Amino acid sequence: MRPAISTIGVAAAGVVAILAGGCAHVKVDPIQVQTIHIVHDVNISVDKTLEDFFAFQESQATTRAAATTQSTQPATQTAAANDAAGDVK
Amino acid sequence: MKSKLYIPVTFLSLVCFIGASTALAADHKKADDGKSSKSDDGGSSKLDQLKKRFQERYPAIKELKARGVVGETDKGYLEWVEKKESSSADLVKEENDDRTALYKAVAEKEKTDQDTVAKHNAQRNFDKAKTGEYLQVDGKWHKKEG
Repeated sequence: MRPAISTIGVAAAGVVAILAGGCAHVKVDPIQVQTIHIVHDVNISVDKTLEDFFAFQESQATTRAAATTQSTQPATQTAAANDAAGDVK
Repeated sequence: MKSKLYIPVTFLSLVCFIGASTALAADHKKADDGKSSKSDDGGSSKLDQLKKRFQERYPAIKELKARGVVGETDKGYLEWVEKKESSSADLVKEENDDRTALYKAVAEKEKTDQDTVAKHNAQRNFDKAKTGEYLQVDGKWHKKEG
């Protein structure tokens, strides 16, 4: 009889421990960040941000330049072809 | 009998404790991540809206600069070279207002002051300016040479 009571007691203690574990509130101590001395150049960072922001200006200029080249090319080719034809005559 | 029971019960309670702690920690992390991503979205969407407006105005501004109506200043803003053109007044004002907003946003992001960002952009504009465009240094206009 005695061993049975002690077994129940141990089991009950186990259940209590499980329940207590489930309700546990873990308080984490604030993490201390060590000061690391890095020379961070703000100027480079600002330049990069601005460069990234205005990147569309470069792409628009490239697109426009490409469009201009394409529109002038057939005319140039036609003129060259006419010259060649004139030479043959 | 007693010692046989102690080990699994202790092990089980330890597992439960670790599980509960991990779940709590994960919840805190999720909450923190949610907060930080919310603030990032706000900042980037503001910059996106600004960029869109700059993009829309860019061809017109470029044309005004090419005609010598406006020029870039060493303060990072557009300025009328001679007389104000009433038809483009709103455009130039919007451009300068948005530049102020951009300098403020970049200064906040980079943890610096607005003037520093404005001067960096002025330098950038001077470098990117085409030959013949007007650039103002210390209140005096200069024509960019090739």
